[in-house]
Amino acid sequence: MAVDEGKSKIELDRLRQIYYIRNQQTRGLEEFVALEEFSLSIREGTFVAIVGPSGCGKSTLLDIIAGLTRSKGGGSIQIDGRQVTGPALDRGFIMQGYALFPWRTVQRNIEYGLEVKGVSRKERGEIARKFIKLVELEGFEDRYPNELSGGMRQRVAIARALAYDPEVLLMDEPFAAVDAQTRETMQDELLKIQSKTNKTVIFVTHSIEEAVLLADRVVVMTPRPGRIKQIVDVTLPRPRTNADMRASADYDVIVRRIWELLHDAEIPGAVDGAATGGDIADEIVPSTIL
Amino acid sequence: MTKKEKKEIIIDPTQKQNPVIAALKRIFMASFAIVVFLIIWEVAARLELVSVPAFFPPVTKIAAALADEAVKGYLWKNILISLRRSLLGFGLGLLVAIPLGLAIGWFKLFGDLVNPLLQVFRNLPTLALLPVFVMFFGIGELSKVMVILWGVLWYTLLNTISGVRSVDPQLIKAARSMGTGSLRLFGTVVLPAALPFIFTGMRISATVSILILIAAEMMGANRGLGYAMFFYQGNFLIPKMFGYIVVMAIIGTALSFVLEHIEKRSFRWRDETGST
Ligand SMILES: Nc1ncnc2c1ncn2[C@@H]1O[C@H](COP(=O)(O)OP(=O)(O)O)[C@@H](O)[C@H]1O
Ligand SMILES: [Mg+2]
Repeated sequence: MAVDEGKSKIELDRLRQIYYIRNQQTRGLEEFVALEEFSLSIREGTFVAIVGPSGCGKSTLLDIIAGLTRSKGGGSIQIDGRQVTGPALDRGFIMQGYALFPWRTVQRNIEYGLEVKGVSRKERGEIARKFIKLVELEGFEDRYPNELSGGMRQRVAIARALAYDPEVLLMDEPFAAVDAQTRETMQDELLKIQSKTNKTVIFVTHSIEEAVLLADRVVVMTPRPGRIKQIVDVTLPRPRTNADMRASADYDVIVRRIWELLHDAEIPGAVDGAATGGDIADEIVPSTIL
Repeated sequence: MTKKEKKEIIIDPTQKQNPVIAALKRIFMASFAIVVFLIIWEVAARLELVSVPAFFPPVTKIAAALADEAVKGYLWKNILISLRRSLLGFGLGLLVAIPLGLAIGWFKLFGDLVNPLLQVFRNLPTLALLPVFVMFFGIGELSKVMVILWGVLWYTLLNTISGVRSVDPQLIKAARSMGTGSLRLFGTVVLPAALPFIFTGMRISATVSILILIAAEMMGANRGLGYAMFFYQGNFLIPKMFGYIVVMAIIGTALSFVLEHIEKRSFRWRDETGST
């Protein structure tokens, strides 16, 4: 199990993010705490999923780890003991909207990070082809993103992030926009890729099932300000597939547990002391009840 | 013949058409309204349905006048000198508009500072500026080129600015997440994203560079399409005047047709087939 072995890869220490929001009545700027006291230690090769109601700061957290946003409220990020000061190729960021360059073909999209890295044209081509094969997009090298389906674009985005070989993958609801069947295929593929490459993954999702299927640890967050409510270890055996999980009773238990954790947030102070409460009932839509 | 084609379509819409027939049909569609217009013009002029028939020569007379100009060689000389002016003004206009537009679009502070001035300038009618151009640049080639440059500048400039400003922030984020520096970001994200906008601006500018010839050649020219038009108007050679108007229209239309074609071909990645 990846949970118990390996050295610490990522150290998040009391991350706090403040946004300044203009109050419509007073016209003054008000502090809005999007992320509070977020500390997490992640071992190498661990798959961490983050779940929480929308607006609880999940994307903010990934932006900070990616180095795209500086946390204004303090805290620090270390990767392999080094302070993170900005974006770099040691982290691959896969965004929800794919964010493929529409003027680049599949192949050239995948090569982008390698260009930044300074890899020669020939080698870029070879590496890109390897990852095109990995995400099963052979034959589509010369297509433009607008000529691909949503699931295929998502795979290009994954290949683009994998191609420059980052040690950490940051994924922000990557499968939220693809249909249910494609999503299952993608999840299974991601599981395969991760077991092959042993990357450290931080995966934000709305779906509890997805979190439990993929992750070694599921971080459950509270809304406003986003804090860690609880971390649930998923001790299900690997390799996992969607098919296995459907038949697993343990899986259902863990899903149920996280679902309850998320729902406790409705009742201020109930069960878990860390819950700050708030009117988020309409925002939590765990797919278990859908 | 057209009737028969129509019937075929109704019977079997999926049937592949003979390419020659398809081409003929396209030409027919494209020229129908123009031909009808010319026929009405011709008939109206021949029947002298207008108050001053001398100002309204029939189409055939205009064609004959133009042929005369062509045979004498004036037509080609005028076309050449005018195209040279347009091209020069257009080219120089792009050299100013594209870099300036990129800078204004990219450096927000610079853009905010310069924008008010741009708004004032671009709303000045080019004709009103003619005396100013004459004052600054004389009545030689330079001032004609400068007038064209001025008229052409705005379309490419404003399109370039909005091109740069409309770059999807998600793409910038994606590039930056891979450690892309500012220069590379500009070259690999901002510029390609803005390119279709820039090209649209260039296309409009190119057409305008022909339209604006008339204004440019109002200033002490002794050759050129615009000049010839004014000259023949002044000398009451109305068929020739119309002839030159027609030539300018043809050149302008051909230019925008060609550029539109290139534009469509160049940006395959932009064709929307259900993309974001
Ligand atoms: N740039 C910003 N300025 C102000 N508020 C922001 C900004 N980005 C995010 N927020 C706010 O911070 C909170 C967390 O946002 P986000 O991290 O996107 O949440 P999540 O990804 O969990 O849905 C939300 O309430 C959002 O409105
Ligand atoms: Mg989000």
